[in-house]
Amino acid sequence: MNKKILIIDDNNEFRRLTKTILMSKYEVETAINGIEAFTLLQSGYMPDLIVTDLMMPGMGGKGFVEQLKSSGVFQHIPVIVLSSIDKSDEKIQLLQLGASDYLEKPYNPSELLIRIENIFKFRV
Amino acid sequence: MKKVIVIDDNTVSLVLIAKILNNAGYKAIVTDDATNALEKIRQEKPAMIILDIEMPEITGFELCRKIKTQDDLKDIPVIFLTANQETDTLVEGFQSGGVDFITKPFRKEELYVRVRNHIELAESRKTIIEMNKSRDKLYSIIAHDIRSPLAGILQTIDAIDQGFFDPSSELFREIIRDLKGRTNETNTLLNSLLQWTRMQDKSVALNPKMTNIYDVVKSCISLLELNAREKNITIELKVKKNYEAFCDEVSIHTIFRNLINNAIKFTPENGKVTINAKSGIRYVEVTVEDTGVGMSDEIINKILVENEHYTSFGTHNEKGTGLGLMIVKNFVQRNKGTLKIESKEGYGSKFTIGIPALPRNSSIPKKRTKVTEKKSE
Repeated sequence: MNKKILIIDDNNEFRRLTKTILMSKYEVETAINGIEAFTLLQSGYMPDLIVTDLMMPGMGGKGFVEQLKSSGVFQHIPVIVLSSIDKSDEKIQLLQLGASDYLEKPYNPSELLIRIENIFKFRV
Repeated sequence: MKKVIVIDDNTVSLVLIAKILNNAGYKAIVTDDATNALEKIRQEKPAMIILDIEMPEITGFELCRKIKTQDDLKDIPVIFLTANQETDTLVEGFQSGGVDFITKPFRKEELYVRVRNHIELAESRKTIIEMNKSRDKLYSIIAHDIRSPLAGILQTIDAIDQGFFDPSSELFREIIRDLKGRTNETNTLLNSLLQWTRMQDKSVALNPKMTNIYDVVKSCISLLELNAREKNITIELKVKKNYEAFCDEVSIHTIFRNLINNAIKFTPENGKVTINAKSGIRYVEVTVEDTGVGMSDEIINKILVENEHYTSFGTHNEKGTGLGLMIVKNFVQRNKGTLKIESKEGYGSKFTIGIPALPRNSSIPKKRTKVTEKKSE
């Protein structure tokens, strides 16, 4: 059975693009910000991995990762952060909060897929 | 009136210099208390400091050095008063941070000219630093506003290249339309920017003439029709075909193109953009109204109030309203028009542009350029 991935991004076009890319291998759900994502999670949807944008109105990527990684039930879900901002201290911050990976937009679609594959392959 | 502070232990000297400066149109502030001079300078914020060198408690050079260590005072030019013309003295003076010397006895014209020159110099420098800061902010905004759509374009092309889309699918056609939309967006931005840069050169004259507003708006709409249709947004044009106003056609076109583009961008699917016009005695008022996400009062204030010192809109707004509206505001001002923004978050925004109805030197007195803001309930 295919693994499930949740994409969080407030930009319609980006969300659709990432969904199309990931749909080639996985089952994809989407949310437009951290709050909507949590609503989905709390309704029983359990993804195997989450890809989230950083800059979103309401709850952004950083807030989301923070909350996710401190929740008992969901903290094991690996998170990849996508951002159009090129700041290494932000990168480090997010990795410290528990993000598994951090990619800059625009990302190479194949690269995203390989990184996700690696997370699935080498994680217990 | 510009203030000049004079510090000298000799009161006769103080009175004399104060008189010369006051007659020349400056406000002279005198003190013989060199030890508390820093506080006095900070209090008065003068455009120039004149220091006597030979003072009992602290020499002029020492005081100057002290002043130069203070971040808020170090840019005020310092001129020394001395009876001594020796080279060593001069060198030490300049090394301690002074910009000039006046040797006693002096002619009042000499004092006046040196003071005036150095004040002007200091002001030019300050202006240049401020302009550079504004320009740097502008550059980072531009880079950001252009980078966003370009990143999207690049990513999409990569994905197509790597075979993620079936070329015969409807999705593929949608993606192509996406690409077109974003390329247009970047193009519009760059064109506006080019125009704006040209207009900053005040010697480049605008070409104002009686312009048909209906034609201009219609032309903008045809450019942006595709974008609107994609989101199923209706554009309603309620401008009478004979409305004319006195303005530079190219910049007015840019104004409307930016406003309508923004309206479409920030309105969700199935929304509506209405363009209306009203002809008044002084101005033709054109409104661009949308049913979009609206803007907070904070953002409206930033657009209307903060002028050259343009600040970034923060994380929420990387979608790039910043530059477009800055250009709109600038162009409106250059055309001697008015701008009003009304908006309510979650409901929509309404931009009202007032364009002079008649050429400037007509019989009807013209209003001065005005940029106003009004919040709707």
